[in-house]
Amino acid sequence: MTRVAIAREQSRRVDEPTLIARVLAGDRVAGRELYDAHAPRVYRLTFRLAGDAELAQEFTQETFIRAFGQLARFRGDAAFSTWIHRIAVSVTFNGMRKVKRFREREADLTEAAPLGAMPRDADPDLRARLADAIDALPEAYRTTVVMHDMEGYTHAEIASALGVPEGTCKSRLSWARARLREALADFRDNVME
Amino acid sequence: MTDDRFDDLMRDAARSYRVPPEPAPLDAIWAEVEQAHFGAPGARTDGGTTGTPVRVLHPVGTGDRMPARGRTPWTGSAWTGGAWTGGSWMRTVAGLAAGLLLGLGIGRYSARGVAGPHAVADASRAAARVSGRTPAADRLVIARAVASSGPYTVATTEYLGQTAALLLALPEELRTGRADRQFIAQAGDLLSTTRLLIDSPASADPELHSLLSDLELVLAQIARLRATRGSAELDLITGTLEGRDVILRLRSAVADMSSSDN
Repeated sequence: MTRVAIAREQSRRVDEPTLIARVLAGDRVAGRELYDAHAPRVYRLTFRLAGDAELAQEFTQETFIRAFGQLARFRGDAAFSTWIHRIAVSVTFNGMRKVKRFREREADLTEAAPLGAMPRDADPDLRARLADAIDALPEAYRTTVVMHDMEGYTHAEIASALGVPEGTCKSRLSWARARLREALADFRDNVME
Repeated sequence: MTDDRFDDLMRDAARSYRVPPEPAPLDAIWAEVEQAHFGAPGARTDGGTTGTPVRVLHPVGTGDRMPARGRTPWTGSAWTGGAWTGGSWMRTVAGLAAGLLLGLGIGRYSARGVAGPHAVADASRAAARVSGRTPAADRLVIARAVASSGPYTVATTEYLGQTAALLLALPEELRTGRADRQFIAQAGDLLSTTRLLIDSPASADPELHSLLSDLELVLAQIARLRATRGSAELDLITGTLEGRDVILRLRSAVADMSSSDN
């Protein structure tokens, strides 16, 4: 076992505040430990929200760079996972807005058809229709659906990540599901059987 | 559709909608995070961090804020379809010019033209050739190099001077109809620099970050001007300049940067 692996194994046993303190002291092994504990979930979330591997990689990278850079400001009032997910959502939202503006501008410059202007009858099946309907949800609602229904976050976790009350999170999920059902209303139930 | 049926569909979506790849590229991501935060592998680990790294994501389009509307115009000037009117706009610009000349010596920036953004781009290309890394990593390397060596402060000062010079020239360019491709291209270059700076340590200062965000919007609007520009496009520019007090804040930032230089 290498020295780094041994050190990593030892640090696995320590609690998170200690890990954070070590990262602040410049311990890269502790940094990797903290990263390993949270990166898989952060990456999954950014991928679900961005829908693109390269973007998800950049957003995850940016999330941890920011988190480590601002670690001294982390007061421990909330769990580290809550804090880093808040950063991840913020980074992803901002990044996607930039990407969207860029794509819109590119589309404008090339006079291409607007993005996402797929005619409804082009949907090959119910699954594709549902995916399109999820994509079409407003950002905060789509994020709520993705986090809750696909990634299994609790309402408390989502509310914290999005900076909204838990009740708002629940009502958003309810509203979003209603919109999705409307979008699927004209499909027969046996399409995906 | 029944509730059960809908729940089934949502469960299916969890398995089919934007499913992250397995395995996730977590080691590659960590390599960048580690490099950015702890420095190159093998560097000291005794508390020496490299400061806030710079990440440049994607080139983007217009800024994310629309100009404030309905506020008292800062100048009283307006684009009337063919010429700028209102002397107070020019008076403000003249005041800005005086401030810049006193505090910074804007001539040196004018003489350099748009060397700043070009220099950044050249540095980026050079690093790409040397390192053979991916474009995203190259941007990170360049930005980090700029940040760690301190020239980003110089770049920010240069950039502010160049942007001020461009905004100073804007009314005259528009009045005489000379806002040609070169002028608009210069706005585009400055826009690129703005975005680099927004993602750099220079932007750690909230006031400067806010100013850069507003300048991003103004420059994007200028960069999108076309030869057959309409009054709506120009209204957007003046609306942004007026609504966000961009000129005054730019003057303040230039003065701050200038005094920190001295």
